[in-house]
Amino acid sequence: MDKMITVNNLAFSYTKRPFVEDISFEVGKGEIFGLLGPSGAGKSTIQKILVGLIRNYDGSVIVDGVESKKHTNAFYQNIGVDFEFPSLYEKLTAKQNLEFFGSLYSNPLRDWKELLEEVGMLEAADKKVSGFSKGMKSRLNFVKALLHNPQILFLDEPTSGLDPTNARIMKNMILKEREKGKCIILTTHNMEDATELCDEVAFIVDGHIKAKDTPHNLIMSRGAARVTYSYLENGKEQNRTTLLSETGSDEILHSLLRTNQLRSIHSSEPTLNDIFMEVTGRSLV
Amino acid sequence: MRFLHLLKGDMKFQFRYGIYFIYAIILIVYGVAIHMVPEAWKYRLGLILVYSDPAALGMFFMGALILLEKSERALNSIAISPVTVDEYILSKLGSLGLISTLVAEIIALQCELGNYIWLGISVFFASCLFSLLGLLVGSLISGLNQFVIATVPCEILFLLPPIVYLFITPQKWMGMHPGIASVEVVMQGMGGVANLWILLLWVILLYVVTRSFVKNMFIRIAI
Ligand SMILES: Nc1ncnc2c1ncn2[C@@H]1O[C@H](COP(=O)(O)OP(=O)(O)OP(=O)(O)O)[C@@H](O)[C@H]1O
Ligand SMILES: [Mg+2]
Repeated sequence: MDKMITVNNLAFSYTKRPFVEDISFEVGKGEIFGLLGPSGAGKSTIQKILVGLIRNYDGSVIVDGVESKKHTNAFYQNIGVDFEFPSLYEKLTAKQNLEFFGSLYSNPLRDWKELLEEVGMLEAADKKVSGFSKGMKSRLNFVKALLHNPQILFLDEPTSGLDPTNARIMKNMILKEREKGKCIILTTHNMEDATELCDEVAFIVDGHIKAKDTPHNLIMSRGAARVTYSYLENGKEQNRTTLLSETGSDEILHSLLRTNQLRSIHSSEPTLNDIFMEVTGRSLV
Repeated sequence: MRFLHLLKGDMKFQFRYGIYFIYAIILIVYGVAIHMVPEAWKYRLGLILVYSDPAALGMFFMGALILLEKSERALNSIAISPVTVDEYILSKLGSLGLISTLVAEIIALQCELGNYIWLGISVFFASCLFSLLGLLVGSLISGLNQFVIATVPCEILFLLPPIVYLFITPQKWMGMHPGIASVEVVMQGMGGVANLWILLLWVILLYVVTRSFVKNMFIRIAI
């Protein structure tokens, strides 16, 4: 059995009104599963159920071989959560935070120096968290989630607030964790991240899964690639868009091509965000 | 093992967040006050100071610690760690209890209260009682101002009666009050051991109530 998470017919609501319903998915070792959806869709609620904070759900949620509502505290040895917002002691240094949180686990810990080095923060190890920038706190939070070497990782907007270079470094680290066989749940509004990182994504709206597939399949099966081009007409620039599959019958495009009058031309695949809008009728960002 | 790490961590935060420093200042201020009052008042003043130190301050410090852990979201990290609700509470009670007891003993020595062992035990449990109250209120509230307001009734109910008790004719039934029970232990030493059980009973009762509130606080964390 290489499934680390198996969710079957999960249902839960904070109130009498049904909310999270009919949720089923599986995540295996070495897989990244994306939860995408607008604010209030229920992503955090589903994660709270997965990490055993909410126990009064219906259906079955098996995490690391344990029904989540019946977990003991040893359950948390194998779970790492990178919260969306810094969850650190601000008056302690980076090193003191890592030492303290690490000491709460009985697993052999990873080398915090190596991890800090990897995210480019080793020089800041002895500085207080309160003086860190948003991005530094994010990186330290991420390192904290990896420290006890959990097999299951929950990452909530891990790259938010990071500059492109640091976001790249973190994404590479996430991919490295996947290679090591970690099971990763990624919550994000960043469609590029989701497309690049996730083996499978679920679109969550109003507590329901509206679509679930690999990013590639979602993009290819639902959307159509388009060609957008521009040209001058009476001294004014015009833009036109046509489906890639219909370029053969676009007479304007043909005549522009023949007379070398195109000013620009590019094709574009739909993004995951376009697909999200098409499937759910709502925007993600 | 994990519990010891937690305890060590809690003491470290208390140090970093200046609680030990405040206690040091208080010891100096109290020390001066004790040397200024007439000899005849020393005993009663000592009792009041010893008791109000875990009480008024302990409850307040505990609340401040919880509010800090909430606002910095360190609590979130603890809620998804192997730390149990019991470990979390006991570590807080133990760390604050130790420093409170130490401070109380120093005050007691200055006032020559006597019964130092019983005094230590009594103050430790009194500290647990007030820490639990602080934890209970802190688990429900997120702003410091709200917290201060919410602790006022607690201080009136739990701190005031034992102080008033020192100036009136004692009645046996009054010993049911946890604060008065605690003061009685300090005054009577071994003879007041029955009061210690009353105090302990209060602590256990309050522990059970507070535990469910803290559990709820863990569940409510944002993820
Ligand atoms: N403890 C709670 N009690 C009652 N309702 C809650 C509670 N927590 C969340 N909700 C409600 O449940 C709904 C889903 O919230 P949830 O946090 O799961 O959304 P989300 O998909 O994570 O959104 P975001 O992208 O903003 O993080 C919201 O309408 C929210 O108000
Ligand atoms: Mg959320």
